[in-house]
This record gives sequence, structure tokens and C-alpha cells, in this order.
Amino acid sequence: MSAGAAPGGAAWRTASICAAEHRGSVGVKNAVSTVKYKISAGRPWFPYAIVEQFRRIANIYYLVVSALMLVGEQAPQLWVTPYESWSTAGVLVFVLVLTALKEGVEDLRRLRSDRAENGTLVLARTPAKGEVRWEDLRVGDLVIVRDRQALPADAVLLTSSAPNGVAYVDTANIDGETNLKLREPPAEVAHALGANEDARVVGTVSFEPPSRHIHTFNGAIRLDPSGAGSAPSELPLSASSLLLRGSVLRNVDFALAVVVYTGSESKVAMNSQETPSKMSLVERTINASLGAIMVPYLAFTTVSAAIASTATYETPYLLSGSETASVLPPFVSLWVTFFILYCFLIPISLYVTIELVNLLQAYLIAQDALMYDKASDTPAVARSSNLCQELGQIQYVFSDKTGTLTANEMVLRYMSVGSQDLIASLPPPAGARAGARAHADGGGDEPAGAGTSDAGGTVDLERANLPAARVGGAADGEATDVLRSASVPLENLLRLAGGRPGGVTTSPRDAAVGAASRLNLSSDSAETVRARTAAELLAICHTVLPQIVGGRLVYQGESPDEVALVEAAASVGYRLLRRDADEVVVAVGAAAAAPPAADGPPPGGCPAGCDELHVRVLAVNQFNSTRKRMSCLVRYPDGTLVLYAKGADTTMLPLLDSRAFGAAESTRANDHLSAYAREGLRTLVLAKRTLTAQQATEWLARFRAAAVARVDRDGQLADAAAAVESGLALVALTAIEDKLQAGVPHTLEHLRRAGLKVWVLTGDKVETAVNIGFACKLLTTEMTLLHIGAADADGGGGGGGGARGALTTEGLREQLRTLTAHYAAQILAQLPHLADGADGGGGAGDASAAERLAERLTAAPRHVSGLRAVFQRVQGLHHAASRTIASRLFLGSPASSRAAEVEASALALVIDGAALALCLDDEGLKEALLQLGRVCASVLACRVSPKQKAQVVELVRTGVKPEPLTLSIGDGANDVGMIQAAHVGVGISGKEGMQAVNNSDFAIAQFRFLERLLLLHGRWNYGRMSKVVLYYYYKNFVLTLTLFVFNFQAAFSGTSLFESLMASGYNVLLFLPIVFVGALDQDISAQMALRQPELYVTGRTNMHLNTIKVGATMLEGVLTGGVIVAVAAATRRSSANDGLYSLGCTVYTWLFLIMQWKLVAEASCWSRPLNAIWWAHNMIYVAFLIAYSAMYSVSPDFYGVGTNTLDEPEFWLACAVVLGASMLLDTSLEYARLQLRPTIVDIYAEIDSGYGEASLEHEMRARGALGRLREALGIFSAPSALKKPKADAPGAAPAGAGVGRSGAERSSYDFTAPEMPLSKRAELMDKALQRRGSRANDRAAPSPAGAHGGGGGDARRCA
Amino acid sequence: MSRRPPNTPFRQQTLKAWRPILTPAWVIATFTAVGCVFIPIGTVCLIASQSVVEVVSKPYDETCCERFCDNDERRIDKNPCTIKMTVPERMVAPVHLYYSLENYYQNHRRYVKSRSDRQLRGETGLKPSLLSDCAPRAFANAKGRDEVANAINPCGLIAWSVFNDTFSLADPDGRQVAMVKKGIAWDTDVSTKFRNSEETGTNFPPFAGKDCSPGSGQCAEDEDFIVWMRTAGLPTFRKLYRRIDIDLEPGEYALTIQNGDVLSGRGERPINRWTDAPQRLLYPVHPFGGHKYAVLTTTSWIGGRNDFLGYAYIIVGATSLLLALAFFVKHKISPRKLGDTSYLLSAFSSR
Repeated sequence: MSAGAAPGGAAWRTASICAAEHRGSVGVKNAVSTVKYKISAGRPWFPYAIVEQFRRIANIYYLVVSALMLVGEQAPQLWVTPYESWSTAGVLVFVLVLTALKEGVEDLRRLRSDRAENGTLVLARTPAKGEVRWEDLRVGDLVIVRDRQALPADAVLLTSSAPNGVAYVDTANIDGETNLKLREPPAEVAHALGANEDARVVGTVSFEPPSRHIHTFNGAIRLDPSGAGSAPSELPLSASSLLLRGSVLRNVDFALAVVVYTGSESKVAMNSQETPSKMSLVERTINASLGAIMVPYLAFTTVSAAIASTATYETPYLLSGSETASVLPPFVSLWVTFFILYCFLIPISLYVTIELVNLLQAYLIAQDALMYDKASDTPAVARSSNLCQELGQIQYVFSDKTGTLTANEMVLRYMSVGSQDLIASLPPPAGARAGARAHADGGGDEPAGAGTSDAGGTVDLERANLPAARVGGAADGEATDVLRSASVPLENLLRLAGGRPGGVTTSPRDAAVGAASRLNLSSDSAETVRARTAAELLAICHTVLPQIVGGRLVYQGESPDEVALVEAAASVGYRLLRRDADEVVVAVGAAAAAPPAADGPPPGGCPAGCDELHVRVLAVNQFNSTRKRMSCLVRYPDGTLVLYAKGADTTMLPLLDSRAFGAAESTRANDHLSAYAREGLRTLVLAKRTLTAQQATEWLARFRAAAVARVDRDGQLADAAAAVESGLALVALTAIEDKLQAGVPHTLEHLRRAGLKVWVLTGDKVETAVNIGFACKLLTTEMTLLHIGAADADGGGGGGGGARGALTTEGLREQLRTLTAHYAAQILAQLPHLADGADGGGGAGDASAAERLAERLTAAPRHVSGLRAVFQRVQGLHHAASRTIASRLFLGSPASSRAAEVEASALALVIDGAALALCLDDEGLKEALLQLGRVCASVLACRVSPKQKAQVVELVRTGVKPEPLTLSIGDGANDVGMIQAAHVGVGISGKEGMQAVNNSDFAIAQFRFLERLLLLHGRWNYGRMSKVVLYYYYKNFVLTLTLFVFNFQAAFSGTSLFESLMASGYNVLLFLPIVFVGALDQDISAQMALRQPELYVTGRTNMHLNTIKVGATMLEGVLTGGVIVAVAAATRRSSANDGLYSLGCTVYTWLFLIMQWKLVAEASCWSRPLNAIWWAHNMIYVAFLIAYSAMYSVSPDFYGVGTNTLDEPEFWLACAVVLGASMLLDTSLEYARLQLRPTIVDIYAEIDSGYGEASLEHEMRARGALGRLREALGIFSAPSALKKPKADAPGAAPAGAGVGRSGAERSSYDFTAPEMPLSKRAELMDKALQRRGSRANDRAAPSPAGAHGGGGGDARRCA
Repeated sequence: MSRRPPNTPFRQQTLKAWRPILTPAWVIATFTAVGCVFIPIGTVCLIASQSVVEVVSKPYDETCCERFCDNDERRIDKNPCTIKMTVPERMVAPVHLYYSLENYYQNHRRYVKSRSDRQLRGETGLKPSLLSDCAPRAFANAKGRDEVANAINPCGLIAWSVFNDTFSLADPDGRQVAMVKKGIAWDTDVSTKFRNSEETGTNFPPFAGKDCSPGSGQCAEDEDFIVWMRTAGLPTFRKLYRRIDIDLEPGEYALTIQNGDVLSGRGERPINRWTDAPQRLLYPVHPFGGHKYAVLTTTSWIGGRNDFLGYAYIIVGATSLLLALAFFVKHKISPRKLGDTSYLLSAFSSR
């Protein structure tokens, strides 16, 4: 048997099951190798590991320099080496060997774990039964896996100890999902074999070739019947019977499975490609600095060589005539000599230093106790230490919504059964309270009470100032009224029945019992029947797995929504008890509503007083992202055949039976759905259809045929499902709440204030996403929402020109054009007064010019290039305007226009998946979208697929020039693409497994930690690394410059002023202090950085490490180096007996002192360890001079030099004056800059240090300035009528939001105040977050106490 | 067991730290203080430096030229040659006699390297390969390079071009002034770096006829030689020749310069390509356009005469005071309040 090649490429393989003669003919050995260095693969460890390191340009450079030095030493007739070659070659070899060793050790570890895995024993029948090593398994072998054992290979389940041969697997190793998954063998096979691990199995299994798709598998099994005669029948196999390698068997004693994919062909191995290694900033910095430094380097070298080869110095004492002349032209030979002489300009130690600093930074990130999540006992993890400083330069944040912004804790919040009668009796305040809650959540930081007073009939959206672009929105107030009057908050369903309101999940036992019993027993009004049907549907139609864990019944499912629905059903008396392969058992009755009592029947059983409902599940039409619905065909004990379906409204509503689903009900349903969505809830439509026996039989036949199809099985299944999912009757609408994670609004608001553009990419529908957007402060009322996409049925009007119905490229183009014109008009409206501010030109002419321009723009051509032109034009104006403003604020920072671009933006873009897909396909639209997206502060993309998420990140990375730094944050497997696509990927170690974390660069437990990660650690690390890199530039530039200038005094012969070891030891002697600065410096205090997110501008606009800064540093280096040599020449001229090395020693000491001083000047935070190490280095230096000058055998040249130099008072006097001059120069320049052109960071650093009456009043005024500035910059924000009234009292916050904000900030200030013990701070912060969370959560439940009782009270007092 | 990171100031980055802020008060005060300290120091240095009496001769390479001064080939120097040194005021002992050379690139890369420290230290039997740095003055003959006996000791360009003018000083009354040679070189050099060996002086004409046995104090142990071997850092340099331990009264002193070694006329001439007529020359500097001076100087606590240091202090100090004044005026006229964010706004709205 072998794999035959069939046309079309989808050749299936066929293997005999457990047959000795054919064993090994199919597939590969079941050994897995993750080892990187293999001789067999042509990658022997040592040479390959060494060669690999030369992918770094820096290493190539060092290699070249070392080689030149060695050649020069061996063949002086070519060129001369000014230094000993070991000084560079030795270090290079050391670094290379060390790295290779590290790689080797890591590989050895991989080899060991491979061996351990491959050598694991498993019980197998090959065909002899016995324990075999994993690596000896072959395709077709039968494996017998015990409970809690891991699967050695991908295998098809045949039977197990459980009824029907089902098995449960834990796939945490593969996809990180912790819930158990049910795997079912083909029923006939399981039946034939029975629960017998020694059952006779003869036959063949065929299956598709190996692929990396974990969730798909197609195959067929043909078992030879034990009795001869009857023809063997072929049974289909699907992914539901495939046990993947690495998954763990649970809850069954044994499982018998036949191996189909082994070793490298197993799905998990096919998926374990190496994650793309991100080019670290270290490497980019070094590569970039190589480029930057090469300019002065080559200039020095060439100038020196040119002078040396042309200038004529009379030096007869060199007897040059008798010297062997270089065989090379003098210029070339000298050029190489000088190239080597100046090689310290790019020190090898820069690389080492940066790596070390990165490690320390990563360590400190992981050690931050305020980024430690107590609930999950998870500290932050920096997995890519080399990206630590990139955190401080992020410009775009791409965030997942579910599980990232929201907690992924689903609760069924409302259910609408469409009844008028029932709802009329509901107490109205419940809905109002819910609305108010949503509101308070939106303004989570506002003082309690502020948001509730006016919440009577309004939802957040109304205050959202829906913009002109979004014409024709639904009347929000009306919708809310509908919501209030028509929907049934679930607890009210209970209340109606007489129970006390209590959350679905937390309802007290007796209340629930009472409620459920009333519900069941109440008169059969239409609504009650429907409500019961809905509950029954929820309990039956799902893929949730009931499990008994620790004596309790828990539900596990792949979708948390489904679990929430099943739990909700349980709480009203439809408790799912068991599910077998084709049967669902539900306990029905009031008693079932209560959580099982401790003394009750076993958790899987039916409580006393209720009935067990056994429902046979005939078919399940699975949920997938295209269908967006699922359905089950079930047969009740009485023979009734019902199809239950639930799914997204967009796909479900068209399927409803139009006769039963009249216009009135349709309108009501739409109203309800909109109202739910406005609250940020997820909606589902529940529906049913009763089938006749004949219909069911016919359809089942079709379904089964599709299920065994070899070609396009999924498509056929979908078609089959579609055939039955029609003419449905509406049962109910549900609304599930996805709770916001703690601290999300605060974090997002701060990110926004930091000038980061936040793009939320979610799979949710537009309405839901927009509402979550408002709730979490991603969108604010000051923003103008631009909407692109199809006009949703429930969205109440889409974008500008969007035609109702199908979206076309043309329509989209039209929308973008309209938005652009709108946008342009707003700019132009602002332009006249900006123009006179900007250019002084201005005047009366402007208004008409603006009008004319607006006309031209609005009449812009419809084709894409025209659109692009319009955009460019508009953006030009926009930038010109905002640059003028911002440059005043940011004081000529080179990046001011970029800063302004962000500051100026008060736009938010909402785009739906269909529009996004179209945009991503069309180059022109792509660019237009990007242009629009760029000027928006927030972008919300809805209905986005995982692949599109990555595409959007890619779009921004490649489309925006210069390439902005992007960060993606997500928690699920669907975010992996986006996490890998971004510069920095952050994984949230949440509920959806470890996939995201495993692919991330940083892992945090809570979204709110992102604020600390970016605004604090990121900004610090960026500042630190900038200091390290600039310091290195400066340090080595000055050194090289002194060498260069000195050569004017040394006949350009290439003499090194410094003794060899001194020269190469320069970076060693100055090593640790800068590492400490790189690890510990804080340009601004933690509390200030978090209180003023605006300060993030430094990194975002790269204010520290740009070409101008580097240029300025070089210039400073030129001054310093020149002065040093001049002073040296002047002071040393007259002194006696001092040789070259004394001069070198003196200059070197000055360099050392100046560099040490520079460190003091650069460090903004002089901590004790830094102080200690700094002084230690000074001591070490003196000790080194003394010791080294006593080591004749090491350096005869330096022998006695140090001690003799230190002896002279003149030396010390000169040191002092040089140092004094240097300090004077630095300090006065810096002081003048501070006085005349302080940056925002300077001023806050002063406040930080307690200057400027850092009182609250003062702070308020500061915020006022910034706030007003933002207003001025945000030229598109609300028209003046919508502007908040200015506070009258001087010093009060100008904007209403400011009051709340400052309160929150003050408290966060308090949390992080260093004088407060850490535990206390963490505790306070936890409490505050709980408080915020509890305020958000205490909706219907008036007493939030219980859970965090005393804590909440304390926190309130604190506040 | 909780994975909560421990609460230490280092790990939580809450180390107590000083955050320096350049406040006007601080800067103005510091600058004033620097000025107030530096100017007096500078003054003291300047006074000390100016108290030093320094007598620099005219370039004696010119003074001592007898004939054909512009012709390298035919030039003849007065040898010996006497020049006048006028001591304007009493010079208090110790007085140092230096010779000073100009435009002499002792720091040339090839020159600096051209020596063998092991040979100078007295190691014998060095393999010829170890003397490669000394080229082209490592071996006496082009042939027989491998023979130890063929090596020049001390080898290399520095030794080969050893300065060999000698000076003697006569006071106004014509009496010879006693000069001390001991101690003109660094102790470390004398004690460790330079030691005669059996081979010292081999194939090296300047040492010919001298007692080059170990401990003799001549040849490689000669302090004049040691001083020369410490190559200067800059092309204009002074080297200490003798110390005079008596006070010199004002008056005209006669310095007699003589090129003793060359006069001996033995073997190969020290710097053989310079001229065919060594007997007629002092140490030749004219081929490279250099000059020679003799310098008599007293010392003070900061060393020799060096006004630069004093001026440097005074300039830095004065600049500091001026800056302090300027900053003070700026602060009084238009102060920028520290930590005042409204500054950002006013900068924005002023236009």
C-alpha cells in the first residue's frame, strides 16, 4: 500500500491497519527533531553557528578590521597596523565563540527533549501488543492510550472505554485551549469493536496527505468484517475522530486509535514553523549607526591618507630610503593604516553593551510588581529583550477586542421573546439603570453620580455627537425606550415569576427555584411558552460539554458565549446534565435551576423534583465564520423532530419564515437588536423549525452523504445545512454582555492622550464595536466618527454615500470621496485664521480662496488617482496648519510635524469587514483608506478575520512613510498573525490559551498593564537606550577625533596617541556606568509619566535618537576633541621628559573624566548604585593607571608612565581646568536651552522635582493649556456649539471630562508615589480597579459588597 | 507560591535618586562659585609660572653654522661652538638645562616603534625575528641576517639617531658650572628598562669605545641615552640635559656645544645619510628644517614656565562669572518660572 498520485494533487494515502507485512510503507518514522544544527542537514554546529553570526553587518565589519590588522602585522610591506591585532580579533573571537556556545547549549537542550519525547513508551499493537518507543511507531499501528497520557502521533479514534467509544482530549499543548474536546469514532466502528482494547481490527484506513490544518481531516476507514462474506463498507472519518499528537486523553480509561500521521507529518509538527524572528532594534540601531558613522569614519580615513601620502615631511632620521617600500600605492597602504587606526569609532563593545542593557531592561519589566496580576498569579514577561526600547516609540496600537479589551466573561443579559403583554408589566427602571450603567462605564472615572442623573432615556451614543458624516442615524432615545419597554433582562424574567432579582450566575438558590418553578408552571401564555422554548433551545442546541470536575458540574465549550447561554438556561430550570455522542440529557424543572446542593444527587444526575429530558441529536450543523450560525436537528422522546438554530442576526433574520415573521415583528426585532448592540452587547437570534418525519429522513440522507464526501466536504455540508435552515420561526433574541477588562477605559484614554493611534480590530459587528469603543473611551464625544462600509440594516444609515445593500468598490470609492470632501471642508473652514497665524499673510482673501478650493475638492474626480490627489492636497494643508501650531509647542523638534499629525486628529474611523476586504484588494482604495486612517486618532475595524488583522498591520507598516512602529495586542490564536506582523507583539495571558503569548514579544496578564508597559517602561527604556547609543557615539567619536587631530602633529604617520591596551580598554574602563544608566535611568518619574501620557511624545516622535541629535553629538565631539588636543599641546609643550605615552595618558585621562562628567550630565536620575559604580570606576581608573604602569612585561611602552604622570601637579591642574571647561560648556548650553526653548518633558521634569507649585491648581492649569491646545489642534472637533462650556473659575478644568480625569490621575499618582510601600500601592490600585469594575458591574444588583466587601469601602474612603 | 515579583527598590525601580534640575539659582550660584575658585587658582598658577626664570638660547643650529649653511652637503659647523646665554636675574637652584628640538617627529609611527625593549633591557641572544621592528637598523649587514652577532644593539631608529651634542656651561667669570647628570631620566627607566648586556654596543658606533658592561652607567644605562629613548609626543619638544644645583647669578654665561661622538670618527657615522662630513657637524637638524635650542630654567611647584595653565583657569573662571551674570540678568528681566506649563501655552499663543 502506498500513496498513489491522483490527478488534482489530493492523493489520499491508504495504509493497512495493524498489518505486519505492510508496516512502514506509508509515512515517516515517528521521531521528531527540533534540533537546529545537524551534520546530516549540512549544518554542523560549530562552523554553522559561527558563520550564522556574520549575518550581522557589525560582525562582518569587525572581521574585516581584524583581518586587516593581522595581515598588516604579518606583511608590513602591505600596510602597517597601529594597534596589536588581538585588541579587536581577540574580542571578536570571544564574542563569536561565546554566542556559538550559547547556541550549542540551547540546541543540546532541544536534542535532549527530543530524545526524551521520542523515547517515551506507549502501549501499541504493531501488530504484536507491547510497549514501544514513540519513534518506532508507524502509520497503521494501533496505539492504546491511557487516561492522562499524551498521544504519540496523529491517530484516528476507533473505540474507547466510554460508551460509543468517545474520548475527551485536552489540547492545551496544541492550541492552548484548556477545555476538553469530545472526539467520536465512527459509530459503526466503535460498535463493532466494543470497549475492548484487544479487539480484532483488520482493514485499511485512507486519509488525505499531511497538512497543517488542525481542524480539518478527511479520511475513510474500511474494516474487514470478522465474518467472511459481507462486503466491507467504507466509513467516513473527519476531524472529530482525529486525536492529535501532543493532546492528552482525559476521562476515559483507554482509547484505541490507529496512527495516521507520524513524526514530521503530524499536524502539530507541520504547524511548528519557527516564528519569524523580528529584526531587533539593536541590530537596526547598529546597522543604522554603521551607516551613519561610516561617513565621518571614511572621511577621517581618506583625509588622513590623502594628507599623509601627499604632504612632504622631512624625516631623514627615518632612513626611509632603506626601508622596504610598500608594494601598494602609498595612498592605499596609508588608507588601510588609518582605517585600522580609527576602528574604535565603531566599538565592538557597543553591541555587547546594548545586549546587556536590553537584558536588564527586560528583567526589570518582568520584575514590575505593578504589572503582576494577582488573580492569575502572572507577572509580565519580556520574551524579546531586544524590543524593550521599542515600547517607547510605538505610534500605532492594534488591539483585539474580545479577551483583550473585554474580559471574555460572557453573561446572558437580556432575552427578548417579543412579547408586549409580558413586558408591559416589567418595572421600567431596570432598563434605565442598565443604560445608566453603560454610561457610567463609559465615563468610568467620573465621580459616582455624575453620570446617572440624566441617564433616564439616553444611551451613550446620544452624547457621542454623531457627526454629519453619519447622516440619518436611528433615533437613539427612541431605541432605548424600546429596549426598556420591550426586552426582558433575564433577571426580570425571574422577578416576574416572583423570584428576587439576582444575576444569572449568582442567583440565590431558593430564589432561582421559585423563579423557575413559576416560569414553568405559569399559564401557557404565548410569551411564556416562547421563553420556555428559548431556554430549551439553549440547553440543547450547542456544542458545550458538561463535565464533572471535583464533584461539580461544569460546562466547557469552545465558545464562551455558548457556555454562558447554557448556564443561563440552567439557571432558569433547564440544566444540561450529560451529553453523549448523540444524546443530550437535560434536567427540567424548578429544582434544576438551583445549583446542585451538596447533599443532592451526583452532579451528573437529575435533582429531585425535576424530569430528565432525553433528546436525541440527529445532526449538528457546525458553526463557522462564514455561516455565522449553528443548528441541531433533534428528536424528542415523543418523536417530534425539531431543528433548533441560533446565529448572528445578519444571517438568521433572512432565514425566518416570512409569513410568521411579519413586518411588525421584524421592526421590533431590529429595534431590539439595535438597542442591545448600543449597549455593547452581543446579539444572537434563536429560531426553530419543526420537521415532519419525511422531511427529516430526506434531509438526513443528504446530510450524511455530505458528511462522507471526499471532495469539498465543508462546502457540501454547508449546502446541506442551508437546505434545512430556512423557514424558521423566531424564538427569541438574546444579548450577551462581554464585560470590559479592568482599567480598560483609563488605559485607552491614556494611550490616546499619549498620541498613540489605536486601531481596534474585532470580529464583532459595527454597532457592538462602536459601543464598546465608547464604553472603553476609545471613542469620545469630541470625535467625529467617519463610517465606511455597507449600510447595516440595524445600523441606521451607514457612511456618506453608501448605498443600502451590497457594497461595491465603486460605492466605497464614493464613500471615501465624500468623506474626503467633508474632511477638506472642515480644514478649509479652519484655515483662514490658521493661515494668518502661520504665515502672517492671511487676510480677507483667504476665505474666498478656501471656498474655491473646497469647490474644487468636492468636484474632485471619481477615479482613484484623483482621490489620492485630493487626499494629498488636503493632508498637505492639514500638515501645514498643524505644523505651525505644533512646532510652537514642541519647540522645533524635528519630528514636530509628526507629533502634530497625531495631536491634530479628532477623527475616528469605523470600517466594516466587507469594506475592509474590498479596500485591501484594491491598491487605490488601500491607499485612500490608509490616508484617512492615518489622520484618525482611533480606527475601529469590525467583522475582521484573523488574516485581515495581519493585513491591516501590514498595510500600516508598509503604507505609512516613514514606517511607524506598530504594536499588536491580543489574547487569542486569531491574533497571532497580527502579533507577528507588528514590530512589537504583546500577548495577553488570558482565557483563550497560550497561542498569543507564545508568539508575542511581551506577555502581560491584563490589558491595563499596557499603559505601564508603554508609557513607563517603554518611555524609560527608549530614553535609556538613546542615552547609551548617543553616549557611545560621543565617546568614541571624541576618541577618534583626538587621534585624527593628533596626527596633524605626528606627520600623519598613523601613530596612535594611546598605548594599545589603553586604546582598546577605553570602552571597558567606561563600561559599567553607562550600562547602569541604560538600565536604571528615569528621564521622568513613574508617577509623572503615567499622569501625563502626553510626555510619550519623546519616543513616539523619536526626539532623542534622530539624525539631528546624532549630528549635534558629533559636533560636540568635534569641539571637545579639538579643544582637548589644543590644550594638550599648549600645556605639554614646555614640560620636560614627557614622552608620547605620557601625553597619551594625559589626554586619555581627560577623555575619561569628560566622559564620566558627560554621564553625570546625561543621567536624569542619579541613584545610589549608579553613584557607587561611578565612583568605583574613577577609583578603578586611577588604580589601573598605577598598576598598569608597573607591569613591564605587559607593556614596556607604558612602564612608569602612569605613576610619573600622576606625580605632576600640573597634570592634576590641567585635568581640573579641562573638566571645568567641559562642564561649563555643557551646562551653559543646556541651561540656555532650558531657559529659551524648554520642551514639554523639561517642564514636567521640573514639576516632577517639586518646582512650579506642583499643586493641583497648577496641574489643572497645565491640563488646561494642553487641553486648549488639543482643541486648537483638533481642528475638526465639535463645532463650537457643542464645545463644553468653559469653567468660570480660574484654574478649573476647561473640559467637563477633565474633572473626572484628574481625579483618577491623582489617585494613580498616589498609587505610584515612591514613598508608599509597594504592597500598599499594589493593594490600593487593585482596590481602585475593583471599585471601578464593581461600579461598572453593579447594575441590577444593588449590593456590590460580598465579593470585595471591606476592600471596596476602604477604597472609597481613600478616594 | 506566588510569582509576585519581590518588592525591592531596585526591582521596582523606586531607588532613591537625585534628579538634578538646572534651576536658575543653582546654575547662577555654581557658575559664580566656579568663577570665584578658578580665577584665584589661575592667578596663583600664573604667578608661579612667571616666577620661573627661563633663558632660551637663539637657535644654535644657526648660530653654530660656520660655512655653507644652506648646503646640506657641504655645511660646516663650529665644533665646538660657544653661545651666550644671558641670565637676567638670579636663578634659584635647581636650575635645569634642556635642549629643545623643533620640527622633529619623534612621534612618527615608524620611529616610535623602531626599538627593541628586550634588547635595551639587556636580554641577549634575541632571535633576529624579534628585532624586526628595528628595521632598517636591525642588522649591520644586509647579509647574515640570522646571526645574532650581526644584530645592532641597541637597534632601531631611535637609538641610531641618538642626540649627541654635549653642553658645558661657564659662568660670567669663565668658571665651569657644575652640572649633575644623575636623575635626569625617570627612575623607573633607569632601574628597569635599560640595562647593559654583553651585547650592548655591538655594531652601534655611538657606543664604540665606551664601557658597555652591565652596571657601568654608560651606553644603554647612560641617562642621556635613556632620556632620548623616551620619544616625545609632539614634534617640538624639550629634553632634560643636566641639573644645576647651585643658584645662577645674573650675567652672561657661555654655553659650549660639542659633538663628541662624531669627533671620535670611529666606524659608521651615527646618522649616516645626512652628511659625508660628520666631523664638521653638530647634531644635524637642518636636513629637515628643524632647530635646536638650549634652555636654562628654574622650576616652581607647577613645573617649568607655563603660563597657559594660569590663563586657562582665568579664562574659564571669567567666562563662568560672565555667564552667571548673563543668566542672572536674563532671570531678572524675563524669568521662566520653573515647572510652569502655561509657558507652553504662552509660547503657542504669543503669535
